[in-house]
Amino acid sequence: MSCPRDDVSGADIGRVTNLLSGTLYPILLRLEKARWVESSWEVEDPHELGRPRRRFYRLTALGMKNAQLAFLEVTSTIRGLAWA
Amino acid sequence: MGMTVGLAVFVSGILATTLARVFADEFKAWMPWVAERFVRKAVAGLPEDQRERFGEEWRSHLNEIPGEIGKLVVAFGFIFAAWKMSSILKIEHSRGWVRDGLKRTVDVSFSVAGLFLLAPLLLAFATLIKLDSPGPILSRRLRIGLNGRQFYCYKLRTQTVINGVPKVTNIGRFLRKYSCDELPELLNVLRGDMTLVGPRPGTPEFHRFLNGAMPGSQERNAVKPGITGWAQVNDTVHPETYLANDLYYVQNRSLKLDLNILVKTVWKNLFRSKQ
Repeated sequence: MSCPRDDVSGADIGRVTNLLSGTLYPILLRLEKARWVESSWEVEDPHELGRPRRRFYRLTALGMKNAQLAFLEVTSTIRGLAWA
Repeated sequence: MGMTVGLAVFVSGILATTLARVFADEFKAWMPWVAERFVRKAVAGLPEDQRERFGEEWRSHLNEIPGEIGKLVVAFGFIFAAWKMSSILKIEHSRGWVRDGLKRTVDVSFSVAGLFLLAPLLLAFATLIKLDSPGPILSRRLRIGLNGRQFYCYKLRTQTVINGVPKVTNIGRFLRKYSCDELPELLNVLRGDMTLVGPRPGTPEFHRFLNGAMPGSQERNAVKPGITGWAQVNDTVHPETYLANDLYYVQNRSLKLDLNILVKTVWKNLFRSKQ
C-alpha cells in the first residue's frame, strides 16, 4: 500500500504486516483469486542464484482501487469518531 | 559444605554449557531438515497443480527468514496455510463445475430455440443477401476460442468484392446496424465453439496484440467466447476498459449476470441502435 509499484515477496509482506505464514498465504491466495494482486516469479535463474526463486506480488489496478476505497472508509470512520 | 556446593555449581555449569552447545549444534544441523519436512507436508495438502508453485515460493520465503527458530515457526505455519488454501481452491472448483454445466444447458436450449424462432427471419435475410450481391449467404471467419483454440465463426455475409476491393452491401449495412449478421453464431454456440454470453472472439492478430500489450489478457481465453458480453452492453471504446470489462465478466460470471447481459443486449440492439 505504501509503495504499490514495488515487487514484494511473501516474506516481505509477512515482515511488514506481522502476519504469520499460516494466515498470510491464504489471504494472498484469496486476493490473487479476486485479482486484487498478481504474482510472478523472480526473473533470475535459480541455478545461478543458488536458492529457490522468490515470487513477487504486486497490486493490480483493481486491487489499487479497492485498497484506496478501503483506506478512505477507514479514514472517514476515524474522522467521524474524532468529531463525535 | 560451602566447598561442595561451590563445586556442584561449577561442575553443573560446565556440563550445562557443554550440553547447550551440543543441543545448539544439533538443532542447527537438524533445522533445515525439519523445516523441509514441514514444507513438504504442507505442499502435499494442496491440490496437485499448485504444489510446485508454493513449494518453491515457500522454500524461498524460508530463505529470507533470519534465525533458525523463526524459520521453524514459519515452516510450521505453512501447514496451516495449505490446509486453509486447499479448501479455498476446492470450493471454487466444485462451484465452477456446476456453473459451467448449467451454462452449457442454457446455451443448447437457447440456441436451438433461437434458430427455430428466427428461422423465418434468417430465411428472409438469406434471400435478400442472395438478391443483393453474388456470393454465399454465410461467411466464415477464423477466430480464437477457449484456451486459444482456433475455430471458424459463422456470420451472414455483409460484404462483396468489387474489382478486388471489399465493399459493404446495402443489406449488409442494415444487418450490421442491428447486429443481425451475428445471428448464425448460434450455430457456433450449438457446436460448442462459443456460448451466448462471453468475451467477443478476437482475430488471431487481435490476440497477438492483446497478449503483447496487456498483461493478464490471457485470462480472457479461460472462458468460451460469446455472442454478446459485458463489454458489449457497457458502451466501451477504449481497449483498456474493454479488456477490464471482459476480465470482470470472467471473474464474476454467473447465470444471473448472463441473463442480465442477454436482456441488455436485446434492449440495446432493438431500441438504441448504433450510429
